[in-house]
Amino acid sequence: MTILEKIKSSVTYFDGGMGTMLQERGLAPGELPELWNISHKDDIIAIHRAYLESGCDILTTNTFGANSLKFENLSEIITAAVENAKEAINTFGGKKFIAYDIGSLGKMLKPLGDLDFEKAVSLFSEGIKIAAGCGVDLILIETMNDSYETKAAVLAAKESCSLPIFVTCVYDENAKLMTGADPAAMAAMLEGLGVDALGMNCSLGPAQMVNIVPKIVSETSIPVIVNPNAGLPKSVNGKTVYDIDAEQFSNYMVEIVKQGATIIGGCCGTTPEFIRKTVEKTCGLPFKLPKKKNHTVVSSYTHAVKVGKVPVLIGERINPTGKSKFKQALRENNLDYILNEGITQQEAGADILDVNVGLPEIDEPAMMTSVVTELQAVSDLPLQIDTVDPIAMEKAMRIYNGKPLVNSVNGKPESMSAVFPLVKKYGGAVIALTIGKSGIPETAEGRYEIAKNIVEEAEKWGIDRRNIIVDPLAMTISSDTNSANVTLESIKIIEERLGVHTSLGVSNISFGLPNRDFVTSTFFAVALQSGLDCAIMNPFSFEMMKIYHSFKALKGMDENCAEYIEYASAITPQSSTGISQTAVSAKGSGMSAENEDPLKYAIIKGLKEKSGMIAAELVKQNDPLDVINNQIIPALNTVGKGFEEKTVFLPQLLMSADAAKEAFESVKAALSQTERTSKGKVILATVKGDIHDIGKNIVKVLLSNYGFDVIDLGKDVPPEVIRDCAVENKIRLVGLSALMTTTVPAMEETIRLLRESDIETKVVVGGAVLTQEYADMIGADYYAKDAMETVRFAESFFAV
Amino acid sequence: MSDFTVELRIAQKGEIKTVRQEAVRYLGYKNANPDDITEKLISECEKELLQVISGRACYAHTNVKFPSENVVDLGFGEILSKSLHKHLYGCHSAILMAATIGIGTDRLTAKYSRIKPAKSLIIDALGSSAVEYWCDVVEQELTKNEKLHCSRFSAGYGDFSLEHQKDFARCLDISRKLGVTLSDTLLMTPAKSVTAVIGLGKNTRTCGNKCQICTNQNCIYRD
Repeated sequence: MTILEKIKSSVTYFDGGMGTMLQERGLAPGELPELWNISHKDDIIAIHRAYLESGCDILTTNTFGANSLKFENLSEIITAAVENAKEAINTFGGKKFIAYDIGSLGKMLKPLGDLDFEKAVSLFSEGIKIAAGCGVDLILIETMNDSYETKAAVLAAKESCSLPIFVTCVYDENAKLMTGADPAAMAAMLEGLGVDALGMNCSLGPAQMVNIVPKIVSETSIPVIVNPNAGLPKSVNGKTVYDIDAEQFSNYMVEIVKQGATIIGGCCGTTPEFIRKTVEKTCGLPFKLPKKKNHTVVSSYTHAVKVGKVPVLIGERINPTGKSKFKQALRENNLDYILNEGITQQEAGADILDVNVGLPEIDEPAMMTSVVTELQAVSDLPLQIDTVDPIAMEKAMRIYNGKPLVNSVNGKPESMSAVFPLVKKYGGAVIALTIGKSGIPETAEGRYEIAKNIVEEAEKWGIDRRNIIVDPLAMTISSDTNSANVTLESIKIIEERLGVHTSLGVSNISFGLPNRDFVTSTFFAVALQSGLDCAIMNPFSFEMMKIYHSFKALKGMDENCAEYIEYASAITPQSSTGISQTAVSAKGSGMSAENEDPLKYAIIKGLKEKSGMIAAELVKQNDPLDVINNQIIPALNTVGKGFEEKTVFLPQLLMSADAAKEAFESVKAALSQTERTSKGKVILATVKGDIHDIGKNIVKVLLSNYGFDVIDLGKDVPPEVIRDCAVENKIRLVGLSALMTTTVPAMEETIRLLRESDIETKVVVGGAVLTQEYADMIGADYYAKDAMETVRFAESFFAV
Repeated sequence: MSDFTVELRIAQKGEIKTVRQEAVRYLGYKNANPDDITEKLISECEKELLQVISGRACYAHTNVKFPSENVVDLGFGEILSKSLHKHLYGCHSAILMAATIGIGTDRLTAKYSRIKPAKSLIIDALGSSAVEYWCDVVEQELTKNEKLHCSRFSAGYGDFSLEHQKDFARCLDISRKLGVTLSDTLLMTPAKSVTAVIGLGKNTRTCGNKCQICTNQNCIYRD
């Protein structure tokens, strides 16, 4: 019997804790337990043997911390660990299984930490390849705190061997991982990736886990693993003890099996006695695997979004089509603009963000990778990866932290053979367009036939039809007045006959018509009534959101109309773009009175929206350059001076900068190309090893404000990258930031590389630990103690 | 895996708060008060931050020895540090502790740095105040039955090398217990995390003014 057959036929038992047992046998403080595989073989074998005698089916190897960050002799350690488990089984007899045990690397992945995703994959792969070569039966990825690291480990396992993969994560009492994922999110991602069993271990005792088990069982179709600690830890006479005994533990385990867990064992503090009692009490219980779930689900690193219950809004704004500003942002690698589109759509109510960054002149795979990486650092919405480039698609799916939605596949064989392998490997759901070899059929029946073919083809690839969301295509009624009818009919028959969910890019319906929102939103309402599940739409559209909230209230999808009331109560007749309600008297020299210089006042006060609106009004009647020179710049100067004199503080400085930026945006449109001059181009970067970028970001905001073009290379930037960028763009000024003494050497190295290159570049440095002496020591040209000083330096530097 | 008996403490709901006055100080206001608009923004940030904070701490007791001049043994090896020696001298034992308010602050600051930098800055400052407050809660709890103790001291203070973050990380098993990880350059993620040692058993002296210990004469927060 294989392990996969075993877990599908009866309750299967893991062993219990290893650490506690090793300490009892004299593992010294500070000694790495994995070394005992070699130095204390007999002890390890004896512990394994004791667990076998207690009735467990699966032994976990003593390899929790075995990775090449910690060990040079990884192969020797893992080989010995597997040999020890085999030896225990040989002497015990019977069919038992060996799980290669993998714990966390103990490093946080980028962008929150400094470990690269692919580096994590390769670190996990090293151990897995060795273990698979030694003949283990399965891979156990356990005690995972973070969904992203978990994904790296699972991908490593999938790419390094063909063994079954079991995964357990650490949930807290609120059923969340430390980095935020809930059971539904983890189940979506892990099932998508094709693991064979999933669940939880460590941190909590069985008493706490009892409440979490149903949350996992209700989200998954695969066997659920529960390996609790021996209760919660407490200190007795300076020793950690766990607060329940084997008797209590096993009683809880009975409940846990009744809740639907079918693979059970123990973690910290548990001993063979715990397992023995658990086996005794649970082996006679009815065996029931989780029911097969038919829900269509995608996930982010915190939560899952289910398709089908209530309409799902997919924000369409991250897409260059028809948006010159967006195209410009892509060409200039202006990620801030793109990310802002993501964050604001989330605030407007989007459930999922579509990400399309395709432009002929840019490197789409690279751009897609960086946008997905950055976007998932600032928004916790699931992403829809929207590209026709299979390389961009694969890269994005790989680094995506969750189960992605992919846009799209169509009915052409070449599309399916490119997309389905990726969906299978990385575990996504995919939008399927009803486009066949000869285009888009004009009839609903024709579109249904294509959808059917796609679903059947997907199933051949092992992709469940619940992961196919059919888009029967909305075509503009301006060229065919029957097109909406065909689309609506398609939705109905596709859902009815194929049992799949549907999606539409709804706004296409009104292409070429005036006041498109009227038609689009009405179509949206009718489509929802016809059964539409997802809409790729503009969440900033008042008409669309109005329909969405009203529809939910009308269809009983909004309990007590609570969401509708919250939404509708906040809608007031558009407030005028005028000046604020109360006039505030200006204080101090240079502070403008509100009614005299409203724009200056708004900027000084840091009123962002108002600054933008007033500036937009002003340029209607004034020369835009006058607005900049007589209003915006003097306001910035007032604030900057105030900061230097310590009457204005950093938060205000930033608010004013933000307000000025908004005003600039309004004025820019009115400027001719020649008037849009830059004062100079500056690179900014937080140096390698430094993952804190608040300081650098402040400098960036101010420099941009003062008319400099900033190339922001981000944080943790390798010296070579800074040098290459400086050379490529012939940069004359580079600003470097470092927070800690430990990262100043990286700053020094960057300066050295810049000096060795062919370009004449000055370097200004700043950051918490830096001083003039430090700056001199590492060869910087200038030390700026704060952001304003950097601005002043840049101004004087580029003035000559 | 840890060499010490490490205990875990999880903050109850509402047990952690931000300390506005401290945050304002971190923001660079020495003796001044923020204007009304900034005050309002701080309140907004406070509200958002409190929703994403979750406190965890872990700690272990250890013996303290002073094998030679400027050398302290905290049970995980000898540490050469004049400042630490001075701070702990006379203690018979100590508590090693680590605390965090979770990854939520990092996510919020990252988000706002893209759309509203002032909020990013304020949340960062409020986060610092919250983790210090949480450390105070834990420290007070751990020392309430100790007649004599001195205030917490962290790697990076004075000449107590930041390298010893690795020792704290290992001994307290902070990756597993708290979800706190160290970068190659010894920065902690979540950023709002603290490791420290609290000396027990010497005459309580006011170690409160950390600025006295610190060697950075240029610090804008220096008293």
